[in-house]
Amino acid sequence: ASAEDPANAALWEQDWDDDNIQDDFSQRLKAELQRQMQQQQQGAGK
Amino acid sequence: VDSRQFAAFNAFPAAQRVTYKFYVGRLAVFDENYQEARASLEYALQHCHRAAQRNKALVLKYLVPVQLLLGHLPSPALVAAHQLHQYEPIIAAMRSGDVKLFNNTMDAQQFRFIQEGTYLLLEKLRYAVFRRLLRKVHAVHAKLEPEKRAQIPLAQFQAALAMQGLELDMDEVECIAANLIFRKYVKGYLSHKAKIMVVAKTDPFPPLDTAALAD
Repeated sequence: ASAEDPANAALWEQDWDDDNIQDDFSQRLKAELQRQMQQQQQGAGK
Repeated sequence: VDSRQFAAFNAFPAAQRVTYKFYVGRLAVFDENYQEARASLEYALQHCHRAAQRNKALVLKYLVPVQLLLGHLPSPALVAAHQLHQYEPIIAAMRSGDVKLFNNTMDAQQFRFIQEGTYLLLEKLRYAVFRRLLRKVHAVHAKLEPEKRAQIPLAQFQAALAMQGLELDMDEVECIAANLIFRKYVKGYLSHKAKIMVVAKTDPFPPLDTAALAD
């Protein structure tokens, strides 16, 4: 067998960059942006 | 060496081929030629003698930052196999868009990364982290206001940064947004007046390896 090592070929992850917003930070972000939108709507209503 | 009059590349012993590709790869990093750097360093890694752990570590020291820049994250198995733990917080920051974690890690590991000669290369990842965060803002915003999904208020990006402890004023946020567009991390344009970033309806966040990575 060859002494070279092809075993490392598939060790890189490429499909991580998605639009998934299930994570904790995204959920908190959602709450924050919702709050921001409400404030704006209240501000515009005055 | 690439000349046709020269002996065929594969005629050389593996050790010389690996050494050659390693240096071609490192040179390409300096030239900001990251696709070529990746190809050469990957060749060196794959053809390196399986017992030559030290040489593999040497290749990975440059290959990992290059791969990150091109949007390829090393798997946990690769990190564990080659003791690449110094990159773990950087990988986590890229994955989650955590600018604060990225900044803290660069500060804390500054000396080590400078010594390893990868600091400036890793610095370039900051915009990939910003992009990831903006992508999250975009995704959340699209959920809240589907009809205005292509118009991201910069105040929302500012709020996301503030949640990570980065209090930036609107000019700074605009500057980051402008840089993201300039570097082709985002397809869109800014409305300075309305403080809105208008992004492309289809594929507003092209893959990282299509970004303009050279300065």
